Amino acid sequence: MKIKLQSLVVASIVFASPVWATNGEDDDLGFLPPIETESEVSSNKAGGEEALKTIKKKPFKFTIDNTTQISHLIDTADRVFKLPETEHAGWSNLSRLGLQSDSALSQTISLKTDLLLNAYTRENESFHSSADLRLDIKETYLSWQKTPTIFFDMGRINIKNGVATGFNPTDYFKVGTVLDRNTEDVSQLRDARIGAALVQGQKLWEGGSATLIASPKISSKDNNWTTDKNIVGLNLHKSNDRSRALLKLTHELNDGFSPEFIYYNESGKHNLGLNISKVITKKLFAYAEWNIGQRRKLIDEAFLDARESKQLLPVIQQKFGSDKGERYLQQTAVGASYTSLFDVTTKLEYHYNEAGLSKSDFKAWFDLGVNTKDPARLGQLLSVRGLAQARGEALGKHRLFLHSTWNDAGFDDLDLTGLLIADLSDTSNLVQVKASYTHDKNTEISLQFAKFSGEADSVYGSLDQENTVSIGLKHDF
Amino acid sequence: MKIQFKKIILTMLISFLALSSFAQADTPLSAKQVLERSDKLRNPSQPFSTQITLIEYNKGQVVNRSVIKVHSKANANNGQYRSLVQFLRPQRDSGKLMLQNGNEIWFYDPSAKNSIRLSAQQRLMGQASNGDVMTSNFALDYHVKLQAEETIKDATKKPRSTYHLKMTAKTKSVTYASADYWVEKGTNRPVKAKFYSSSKRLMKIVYYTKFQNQLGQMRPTQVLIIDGVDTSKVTRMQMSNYRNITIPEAWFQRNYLPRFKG
Repeated sequence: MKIKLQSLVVASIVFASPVWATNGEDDDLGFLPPIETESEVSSNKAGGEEALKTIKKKPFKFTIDNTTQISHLIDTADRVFKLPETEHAGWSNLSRLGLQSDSALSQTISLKTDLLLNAYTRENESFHSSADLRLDIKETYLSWQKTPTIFFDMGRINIKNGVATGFNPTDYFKVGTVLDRNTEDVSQLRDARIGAALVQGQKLWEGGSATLIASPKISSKDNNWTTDKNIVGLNLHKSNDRSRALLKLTHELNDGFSPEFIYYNESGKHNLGLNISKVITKKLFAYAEWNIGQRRKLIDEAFLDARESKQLLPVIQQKFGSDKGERYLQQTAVGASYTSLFDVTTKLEYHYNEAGLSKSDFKAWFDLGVNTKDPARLGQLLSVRGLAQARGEALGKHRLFLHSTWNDAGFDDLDLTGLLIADLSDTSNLVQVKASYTHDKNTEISLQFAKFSGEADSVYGSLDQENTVSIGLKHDF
Repeated sequence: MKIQFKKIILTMLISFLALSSFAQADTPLSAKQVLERSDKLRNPSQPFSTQITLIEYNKGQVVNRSVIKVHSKANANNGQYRSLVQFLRPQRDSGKLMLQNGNEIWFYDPSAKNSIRLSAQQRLMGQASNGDVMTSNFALDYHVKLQAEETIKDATKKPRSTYHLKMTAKTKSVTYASADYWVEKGTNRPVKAKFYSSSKRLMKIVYYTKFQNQLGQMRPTQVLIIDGVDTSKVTRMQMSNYRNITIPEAWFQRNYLPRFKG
C-alpha cells in the first residue's frame, strides 16, 4: 500500500513536470504548406524577395470596363405608364476607360484627378459620338497640406457623407450627380458620380476634425463647356446648380464613438445632420443617419418649375392642390451590420423620408398616370419619380433595405452580393443579386440580375422593367 | 512510518509546486508578464511601419498574393495599438486604406471616395481577418492564465519548451473570444496560437516563425495562419522593412483617410 502510494506520487511528479505535447498539437503542422527553415531565411524565395522589396503606391491607375444591360420589359398592354415605344431600350452597353492619378507637385501640394471616358450604345439608337461619347471629369483638384493637421483643397471634388448604405440623408452633394444607373445598389451608385466645384478647409486634432466647404452656383445652361453638350463638358449644371456651404464637426466622445454633426446650407435653406455608429460586438455594429432641413415635399418640388411657369396641367393641379411650400422635413436611415463566421456581412436598414409620397399621394399620382397617353401629363407625373431618383431617396415614406455580401462564396475570389429594397406601404420590392469573380487579381467578371415585383399600382410594380440582367467586365492596369 | 509519511507530504508538495510552475524559482514570471513580454516581441513599442506580404495557399498551392503596409502606434492612454493599413498590391486594391482605432475599423476606397465602417470579423485579405492583420496587444485584450508547460514543435518542426497560456477575451469586441497560446520559455517568443469563437469553434491556428532582429528585438517576421474551419486554406504573412516612424495622433481617424499618403 505504501509502495503504491509512493508510486502514485512519483507518477504525479512525472506528469506535472514539463511534458511533450500529448494532445496532438504537433498534428497541426501537417496543414502547413512547404515553408523555408530558419536557416533559409536569409536566402528566401517564393514571395520572400517581393516581401523584402519596398513597394510604393503607383501615382496612376488605369481601368477599363464594359457593362451590357438587358432589360425585360412588361408587355406594352400591361404597362402602367404608356410611354412612346422609342423611349424603351431592351438593351444598352456602356464602355468606360478610367484614369485616376495622385501627383505630388511639391512636398505639400498634390494634384488629384479622376477621369472617365464613356461610350454608350442602346437598342433603337444609332451611335452618335457627340451624344454617346462623353468625358467625365469626376474630380480634379489641388490639395495643400499646410501643416500635418491643416489642409486646403480647391477644384472639383467628390464630397460624400453618411454612414448608412442604402440611403444617405446627409450626403448633401449627391443630388443629380450620378453618372450612370446600371445598378440599384446605392453603395455602388455612390462610386459613379461627379464631384462639385468647391473649396474646402480641414483641421484635424486628436480624435476629431472640423471641415468647412463652400461650393458656388455656376449656372450657364447654354455653355457647351459647363454643361454636357460637348463630349468634354464639365457638367457643372448638375454638380453646381445651387450654392452650398457645409460645416462638419466630429469628435470622439468615448472609445470608438465619434458622432458627426453637420450644418448644411443650400441656397439659404438650413439643414442639420447627424451620423453615429457604435460597435456592439466584433461581429455587430449599429448606425444611424439623420437629417432635418428646409425643403419641399417631392411632389411639390417636382412640379415647382411647371407651377411657376403656369405649365402645370389643371388635372394635376386639381388633384394635388396648391404648393405647400418649404418646411423642415426629416429623413432617417437606421441600421445594423452583422458578419457571420463564414464572412457573410448583412446590413439591415429602415429608411424614413418625410418628403416622400404618402399612400394617398401615391394613389392620386398613379390614378392620374394610369392608361393616359398624354405625353405632357406623363412627363409631369414621371418627373416626381425622376426627382426621387436624382435625389437618391425613396419615392415613398417608409422603406426596408437588406444588403448582404459573401466574400469567397464557396470558391476563392467569387463574391456574392444580394440586395432587397421593399416599400413598406405597398410591399412592392426590388431584388438584386450579383456574382463577381476576380481572375488573376486585376480582372473582374460579374453577372447581375435584378427583379422588380409588386402590384401594378405599387412603387416597384409600376416600373416598366420586370427584370434586368447585366454582364460586366473590369480590368485594372 | 512517520518518516515515510513526511516523505509523502514532501513529495506531494514538490508535485504541487511543479504543477504551479510559475512559482518555480527559475520561472518567476506570471502568465500576464509572459504575455506582455511576448507582445513586446510581436510588436515594437515605438511607432513603426512594416510591409506585409500575404500569400494565400489552398491545398498547398499559392492562390493569391497581396501586399500591405501597416503603420502602428500605441495609444499613450491605454497601450492598445492604432493602425493605418495601406493596400499596395494587387494593383486593383492599390490606394485602399483601413484604419483601426480601438474597436473602430474604417475602410476607405479612393475610387468610391468614401469611408465605410467594418467589423473586426470581416475579411478583406484572404483568410486573414481585419483583426489578424491589425497590430494588437494580447495582454490588454485578454485575461490570461497558465494552462501547462509543454514541449511542442514550432513551424520548422523544432521542439520548443513552452508555456501554454489560456486566454479569454476581456470584451466582446475582441476579434476572438478565447485562445490557446504557446510562448517559448526563456525567450518569451510566441510559437503558436489557436483562436476560438464564442461558441468554442476553432477559427485560426497560427504559427510564429522566422525570428529576425528588427528594431532592436528578435521578432517573428512570418506568421502562418491556418483556417480552423477549412484547414486546406493557409495564409502566410511575411513582414519586412520595419521602420520607426513619426505619426501624429490626429491621423488615426476616418476623416484623415482620404489624405493619407503612407
